[in-house]
This record gives sequence, C-alpha cells and structure tokens, in this order.
Amino acid sequence: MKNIVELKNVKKSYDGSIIIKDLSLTLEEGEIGCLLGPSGCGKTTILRAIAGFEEISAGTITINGAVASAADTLTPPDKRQIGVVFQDYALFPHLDVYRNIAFGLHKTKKAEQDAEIHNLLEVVGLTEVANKYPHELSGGQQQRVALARALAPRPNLLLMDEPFSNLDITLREKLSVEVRDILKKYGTSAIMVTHNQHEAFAMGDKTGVIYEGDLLQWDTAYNLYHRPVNQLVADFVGEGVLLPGQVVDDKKVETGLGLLEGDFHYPCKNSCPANVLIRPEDVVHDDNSPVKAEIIKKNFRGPSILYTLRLNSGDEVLSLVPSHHNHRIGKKIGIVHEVENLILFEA
Amino acid sequence: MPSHTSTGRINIWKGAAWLIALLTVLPLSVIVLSWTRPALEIWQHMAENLLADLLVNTVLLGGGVVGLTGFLGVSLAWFTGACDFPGRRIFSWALLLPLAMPTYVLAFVFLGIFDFTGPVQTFLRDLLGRSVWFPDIRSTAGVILVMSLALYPYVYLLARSAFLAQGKQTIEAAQSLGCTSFAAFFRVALPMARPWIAGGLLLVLMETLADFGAVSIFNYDTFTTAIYKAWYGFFSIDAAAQLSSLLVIIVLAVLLLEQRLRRGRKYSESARVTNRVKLLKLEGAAGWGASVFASIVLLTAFILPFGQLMLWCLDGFADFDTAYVVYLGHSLLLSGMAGIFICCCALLLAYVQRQHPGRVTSFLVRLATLGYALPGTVLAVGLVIVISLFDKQLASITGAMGIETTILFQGTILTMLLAYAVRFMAAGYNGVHSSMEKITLSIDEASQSLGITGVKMIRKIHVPILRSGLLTAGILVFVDVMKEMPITLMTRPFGWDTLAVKIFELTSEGEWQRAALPAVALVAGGIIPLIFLTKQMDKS
Repeated sequence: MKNIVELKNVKKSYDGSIIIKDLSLTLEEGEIGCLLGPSGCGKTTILRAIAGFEEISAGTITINGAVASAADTLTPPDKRQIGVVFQDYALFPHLDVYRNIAFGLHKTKKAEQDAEIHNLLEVVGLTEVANKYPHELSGGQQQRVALARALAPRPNLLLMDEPFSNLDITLREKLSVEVRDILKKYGTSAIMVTHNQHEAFAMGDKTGVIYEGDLLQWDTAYNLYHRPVNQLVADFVGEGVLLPGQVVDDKKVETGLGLLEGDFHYPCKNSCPANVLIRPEDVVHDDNSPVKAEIIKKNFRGPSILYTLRLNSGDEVLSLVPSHHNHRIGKKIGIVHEVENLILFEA
Repeated sequence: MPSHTSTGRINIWKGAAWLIALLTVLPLSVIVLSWTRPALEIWQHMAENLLADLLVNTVLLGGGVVGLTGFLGVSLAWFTGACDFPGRRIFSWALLLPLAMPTYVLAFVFLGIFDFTGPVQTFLRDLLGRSVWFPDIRSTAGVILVMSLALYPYVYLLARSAFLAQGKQTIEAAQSLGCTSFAAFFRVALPMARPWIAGGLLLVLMETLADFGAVSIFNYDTFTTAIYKAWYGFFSIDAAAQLSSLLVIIVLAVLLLEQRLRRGRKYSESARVTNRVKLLKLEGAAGWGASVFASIVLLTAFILPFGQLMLWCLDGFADFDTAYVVYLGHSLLLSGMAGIFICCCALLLAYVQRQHPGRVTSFLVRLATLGYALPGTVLAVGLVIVISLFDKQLASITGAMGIETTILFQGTILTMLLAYAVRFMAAGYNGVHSSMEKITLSIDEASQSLGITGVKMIRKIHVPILRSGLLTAGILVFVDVMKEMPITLMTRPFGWDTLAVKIFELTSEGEWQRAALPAVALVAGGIIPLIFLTKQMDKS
C-alpha cells in the first residue's frame, strides 16, 4: 500500500509561539486517520496545514507522492485535490443542495456531473431535499451536504474538522458510522480532527493523540487504550488509575491489588517504585475472592456500574461491574485482578 | 491568521478606510477649531437674546419628546408584542407607518389641520360660535406632540423586539415564583427590555436634536435653526460653527451613552433561542381599550395627516407645475448618486473589517459610521468650511504654478455627496456588513478547496451573497437622502432645488397646500424601507 499523506518533521510557529513541534506521521491509501486532542492542542492547525490553508515553518508534507508543503513551498489548496468538511460546514447559502454539491464539479461534463450528483445524493440520503437551501435543512442534513460536496470531485484525501461537533449526541454516533461506511465505499482516505475519543475510535483506522503541538502516539485504538506510550496518553484516553507499586523483578510488580505478573518494559528492574495503569475492567468483582475493597463512590451507567474502590493499602481503583451487582456505598466487596497488559510509568 | 497578501495591498485597503473615517473627523475638527476665530459681536448678541432660550427650548423639547415617545412606544410595544387584543396583527406593522412620514411633513400637516384657519377650528367655530377656545398648536406642547408622533416608532420597534425575544420562559419563571402576569411585566419584562427601550429613546433624542425641518416650521428656536440663521442671517459661518460645537458636545454625550448601551444589550440576547411568547389575552374592555388606544395613535400619526395631504393634492392638482418634475429629478439623482457612493464606501469598510480585523479597523469603522448622530446642519457647516479651505489651498498651489482657478468644489454636488456620506454611512454599512458576515472565512476556504479562487470566487460566491444586502442598504440610503432637509438646503448648488427644499420654502410661507404634492412623493418613498422592516419582523 502506498502512502497518501506523509508528514515529516513538520514544525509551525506563529508570532514566536510554537504551534506544531516536529511532527511526523503517515497515512496509507484508503485509511481513515483521526487526530485526537483537547482544544487548543494544535490539531486543527495540522489539518489546515495539510489542506494548504496554513504555511509550515519547517519539514515537509507530501500528498500522493508530491511535496505539497515545505518551509519555502506551498501548493495552494485548489491544486491539492483534497476535500474539506468544515466545522461550520461552510455551505454556500445562496445555492441549493444540488448546486452546492455541483460547485466543485466545474470541470466535468454536464451529463456526467448530473449522474454523479444524483449518485451522491442517494449515498448520503438527500435526494428528497436536492432543491432546498442550506438554511432549510437540519444540522444532520447540512453535515451530509458538506460531506457530499467535498466528495463530489473525488478528492485524493478528505479532511474533516470536528465534523460532528455541532450535532446532538445520538445523531453524532449514527452519522460517524454512516460517514465511515461512505468513505470506505468510495475508498477515500481521510483525516478527521476531533476532541471526542469515542468518535475517533468509531471512525479511525489509526488515531493520533496530540498534546501541545506534539504527536504523542499514532496507533490503533486498541493500542492507544491498552498500550499507551506515556502517562499523558493514558490520562487522555479512557478511564483508569495509576496504582503505585514496587517492581520485584522483570516480570513481577507488587501493588495494593496484590502481586501482578506479566511482560513489561521498565528501565529499572529491582525494587524501584513504579505506577501501574489499571483500567476499570482490570478489576473484576468476585464474591468468593479473599481480597476485599470498600465502595467509596458508584456511578450507574445502565449495563454496568463504575465503582470507585478503596483497597486495604489505602489506594483507590476503578472497577466496572455488571449492573445487577448493585451494592451500597461503604460495603466491602470481593475483587480479583485481571491485568492483561502491564503498563508501568515512572513514579 | 497569517495573511498571504503583500503588505502594500493591506495599506491600500486600510488607507481607503482611513479616508472614509477622515470624512467624519475633518468637519468635526474644524467646528471645534472655529473657536480660534470667535465671532464676538454675534456672540454678544446671541448671549443677550438667544442662548438661554435655545438651551431651555432644547431641554424642554428633548425631555418632552423622550417622555412622550417612551410612553407611546413602550405601551404599544407591550400591547402588540406580549398581549392579544382585537386587531393586534394589523397594528403590529401599521404602527410603524409614521416612520414613512418625515417630521417636517407631519409638522406642516398638523399646522394646516389645527391652525386658526384650519378645518378643525373652523368647524368648531361654525358649530359653537366665535368664542370657542382651542389650544394653540404653535406651542412647545404642539412641537413635542408632533415630533413624538413621528418618532415613537423607534422606541416601539426596539421595545417590541425586546419583548418578543424574552420568550415566555422568564415570564413563566416569574409566575411560578408568585407574580401575577401583570406584575411580571413590571418586575421582569420591563427591566429586561430596559437596554432596548433606552437605546430607542436615545435614538429619538438624537433625531430630536438633529431636527431642523419641524422646528423651523413651528418657529421653535433650537440649535439647528440658530445655526442656520447665524449662517444665512448674520452671514457668519464661524458663529454657525461655534454654535454647532455646542450642539456637538450634547450629541456626543448622547452618542456615548447609546453606544455603551448597545454593549449592555448582550445579556438578554442569549434568551433569543427560546420559544415564542405566550400572549397575554386581554379580555373584553381591556382588549377593546388597547384597540382604541392603538387606533387613536395610528389615526393622528399617520392616517389623518396622510388623508389631509391627499386631499390637498387633489384640490391643488390644477395648480400642478412642471417645475415639480425638475425637483423630483434632482431628488432622484442626488439620492441615487448618494446611494451608490455610500454603498461603495460601506462595501469597502466591510471588506476591510473582514480581511483585516483588529482594533484599528474597528475604530476606523466606528468613526466612519458615527455620522448618524450628527445633525445635518452641523455637518453642512463643518464640510463647507473644510471644502472651502481645500479650495483655497488648491487655488494657492495652482496660483503659484501660474494657473488661475476659481472655486472648484464649494457649492458643488460633491460637497453634498460627502455630507450625505457622513450622515448616512451607518445606514449603508449595517446592511452591507450583515450580509458580509454570512460569508465566513471557511466559505472562502471551501470554495478554494473545490478549485474556485480569486476573481471567480468573488463572482460566484461573494457577489450573489452580498447582492441583497447591498440593494437593501442602497434603498435605505436612497430614501433617507430623499427626505433629508438641512444638508441639502445648506450645501446645494445655487438654484438646485429638491422636493425637500421646496417643502421648506413653501411651508416657510405657510403654503401647506402647495407643499402637499412633494410631501406625498416623499411619504410614498418612505414606505419602501418599511416593507423591508416588516419583512424582517416576520422572520424574527
């Protein structure tokens, strides 16, 4: 598979402040990548740099094998064969749905254009509203028009800036699945920016966690959750606690949960302190277990309850328990640990 | 955001914005600087005979009009915006009709109707005998009444939109806390609408201070008429400028208050998203009372005066003079040119605001759109001084080069256009700016990513989106210029009469009937912006 986008040591500073620090990543053709991070971390700037709306200060951005951005070159956006879905959709208010989608097809013949647009309208489910104007549409419909308009010229790469952030939560989940299906159907490579990890996990083949202009980890959702490379990623992705412990040897760590065994990477091997990442599903409720912990907080979530437990050592851990195990706060319940991936961070 | 345009181009754009802002600043500066050449004799005369009267008259008029428009505007807005009563829908828009009637037209029609020789008093004398007493319409109370009837729609419009925007939730919250719906009005709705009501009242106050036509028809001396007399009576433009500077101080104080209030309005604007108001149903006598009240206001402020105008027109039609066609032509030509010129300036300002946002730009735009607060008489005086200084400089330069020139710009249409531009820039800018705001920067980027850039993008995206806004702005300015009296009167080229100037001349000789024809043309023109306004009201 060839790379559709490659960022190599990209840097960007503006007015003396650094917005992107030395960032590198690659996306293969047909893949969907997500950039995940809190607001102001620089993820939108990266997207705009790939689109060609922003210059970069150093490094290169290669799109489909050709260098599009470097410190001294900037291929304008209209020459990059990219599609962009904006956060505010940026639909043309004076054009109806059909003509919004047709806008980028100015080089195609009329008949082909018409066939293409009808095809797209059907794919995004907007055939009924083809002659309506943007202000007459619901938020979800506007979002679909924006997507169809960006896809119409068959771009090499689709860039999406928080495409679902203006929609309510149920619509957001539904649309993110739909959009992924449409992109996969067209075989379009895409990069999406979001601050919502569920969205990133639902959409992305790969996800990058961005923090203060730095790409911390560029990986699959599974690896981001279960094998975070550092504490920042572990904090940002998913829930969990860092349980203080003591390394016994290269396969054992002693913690408040007991002795944890498994493979791990840690610079120091004997009796150094370390923090172990414990996810809520790593702590399993078992009435027969001799190890007991006291319930401090409970958070009912429907299928399960998230308990905050205090161990005998005084440390706290989270435990996700099927919700028919309904216990009151203050009760001691039996637990066992099922830690599959031992992730240690320096204490 | 880094801009790819070269710095040279930025300077041209910003330079043009500076020039437009300078148009406001220059006349104001020369007015203040006029104190370096005090016209002592005239001042002595004015101080002895006039100044105290002017101040008292201005305070009485301003206070009276603000009080009466406040009462009329808020009560009517409350009835049509928050209550249900017979005829509410029609009154909602019909109560705006007086906006189409320039104050000076309403003034002379009132004099014509209620004067000693007018139809009302004649009728009463025929009915009740010679000795019947009737209040004198040519009085302070008379001016206040006429101006209030013409200006209350400003308060009505703003207060009504405030009541509508409040939504029912706040009122319901008050009721859930034990207020009756009547008490909820005074404790919640009215205080929440306060910034809008005050904004409307300050606009009314500005219009009152700026008014020239109505007060001169009533022979009621205010600063604007005194400025006119100082210039045309004493032939002292310096004295006129010094009087103007006094008025400017008052006006700027009002303007400062008004602009501060605009910012204060934000706090209730967040309530705009809530659902519509549940109307308070006025049953029986209360409902009919509201209808009668609204009808009386509408009758006296618009229907009767307009009917009288039409009657005069029909009576005097035989007397129709082709000279009117010339006046109409002048009015249309001036308004058209001003409309186009102001729209171009407004477009430029809106583009600068969009491409180069920042403190300097905002400041320039505010300066350039300040003129709506400045009375026409003041602007006319200031600009004429500026233009004549400019002419003198030009003459001395060309004289030094050996070329003899006479006055180039003074007393030309150019002077008038510049004065209109200052006075009505805000009207033009607001329309253009609001449609410019629809073109977000991401729309430009979307177009760019789809392969349409540069001039092509301006043609395919910007022009169609801006078109309606530009048209609206152009029409608003067109109508405003058509009704404008003092600037036209004081800066027009010799013999260049327009409809408004003709009305001034005819009414100063008491020829109400002959003034009716040009007045009807102005009122008809004034209806056009009302149509836009009511359309907007329907949308919100």
